[in-house]
Amino acid sequence: MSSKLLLSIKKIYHKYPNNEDFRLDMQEMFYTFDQSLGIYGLSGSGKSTFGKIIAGLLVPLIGEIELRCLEKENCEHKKTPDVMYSTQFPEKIFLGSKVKDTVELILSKNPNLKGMKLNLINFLSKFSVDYVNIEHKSGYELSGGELRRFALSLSMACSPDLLILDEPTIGFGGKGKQQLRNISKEFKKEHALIVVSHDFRLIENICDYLWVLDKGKIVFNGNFAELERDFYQKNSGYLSGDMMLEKEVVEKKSEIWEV
Amino acid sequence: MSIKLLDVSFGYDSYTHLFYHLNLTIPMCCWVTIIGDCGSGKTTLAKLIAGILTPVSGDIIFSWGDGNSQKPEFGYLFQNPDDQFVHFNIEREVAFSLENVGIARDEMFPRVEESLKNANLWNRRNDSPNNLSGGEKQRLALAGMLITEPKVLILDEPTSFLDIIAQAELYKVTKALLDEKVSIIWITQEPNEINMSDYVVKLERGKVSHCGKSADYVRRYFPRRNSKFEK
Repeated sequence: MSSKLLLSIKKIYHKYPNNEDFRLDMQEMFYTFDQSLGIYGLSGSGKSTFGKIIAGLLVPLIGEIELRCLEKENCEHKKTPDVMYSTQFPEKIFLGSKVKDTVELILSKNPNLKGMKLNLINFLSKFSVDYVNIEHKSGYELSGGELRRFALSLSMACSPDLLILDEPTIGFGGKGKQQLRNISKEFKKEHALIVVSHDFRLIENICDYLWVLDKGKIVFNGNFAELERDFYQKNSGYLSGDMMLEKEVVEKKSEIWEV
Repeated sequence: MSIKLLDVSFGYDSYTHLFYHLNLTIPMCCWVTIIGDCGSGKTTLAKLIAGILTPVSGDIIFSWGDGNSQKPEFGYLFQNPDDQFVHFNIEREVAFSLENVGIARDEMFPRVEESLKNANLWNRRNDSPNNLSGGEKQRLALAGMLITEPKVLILDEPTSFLDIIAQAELYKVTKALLDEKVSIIWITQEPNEINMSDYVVKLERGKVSHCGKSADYVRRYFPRRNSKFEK
């Protein structure tokens, strides 16, 4: 990892108007990015909200989040680390009407991103998409999977210090998931990575460390070996009813589908 | 009872064809899965069937037996739930679907309430769809579609935004609809989901590479899973 990052969460609390059921409520926590982090939770558990707060796109009602470099010599040139947030709706990445316009606009606004286009072509080819074939297309002409591949490649090509991927595999089949797995293995060697998803298998494959969110709270914080060990201790306090239910569903699902 | 595509050609621009003289028969009143890699034409095929896109040449014919060839009422769940919403209020969003098919107001509200309660969104009814999470958006889009009781349902990668509990719930709802003689066209990239369907259409770059019963498909491509079909 080029520059080690420290994420410190200072007791954050957030809720949305018109939504009484949801609140994000977190205690003081720290995370050092020597391993990639997976944030897992069910729909509406606050994963995306939390991801947006880390990225600085959303300011929580109470508390704050700080992200800084631990090794000063590596990020002396900038005050704060660059964070990139790849949303779960890939069409939001479009700045111009066509793929090419978007790429050129980003390049013209950020002169320091010199190798970005080359990186983008490289990442796209790993996703088996040819940049030449899509550069003159608009967001509406790309298929759902191509759009997602372009959005992911673009955010990786910008080479941020921390990349947050929100539900990166929506619209991907098994092949796409495998490709993403290989690409992120390469990517996380050099960069800090957070994957936010409801797909447990995906997080298990990409990340080394896990936070489980349930109803706006972090209910698990540890690596996968610890999860395995504690998941089966039914009386461990931090698995709420829903999480247990999920375990049952997982088992049922594997009964139906596994070979 | 089937949908027949006769000699259908289609392309998004005039230089390239995605489908070229495609002939395909899709049975109705059962669960049909359309599977294929990204960019293979799954969504385009579904949009052609639903009439959202018009073929450049060729015909799409619906036959319901005893000479009835009327186009059925379609429900279409888009890949991206954001494409589906027209209102800034969740309750009105669902009511709009009913308004659109001309349901009387007195009848409308109990149905909207029931549908939102089923989708677990009743407490959020005064909020805007934009404030929902990805999974909740998908549930709202589904509620807005099911409330009009369409005859043919097209679901474009419906489970992608859903967590595992909501996925299991959707499979259950779909099976129940099937019992009410609703035809399901289910687009997916997830081979696991074939196990639940009756019929599979596999697309590869605009060509049909497999079309037949799910059991045959599984036997051919996943021979070790065979036993699941022997009930």
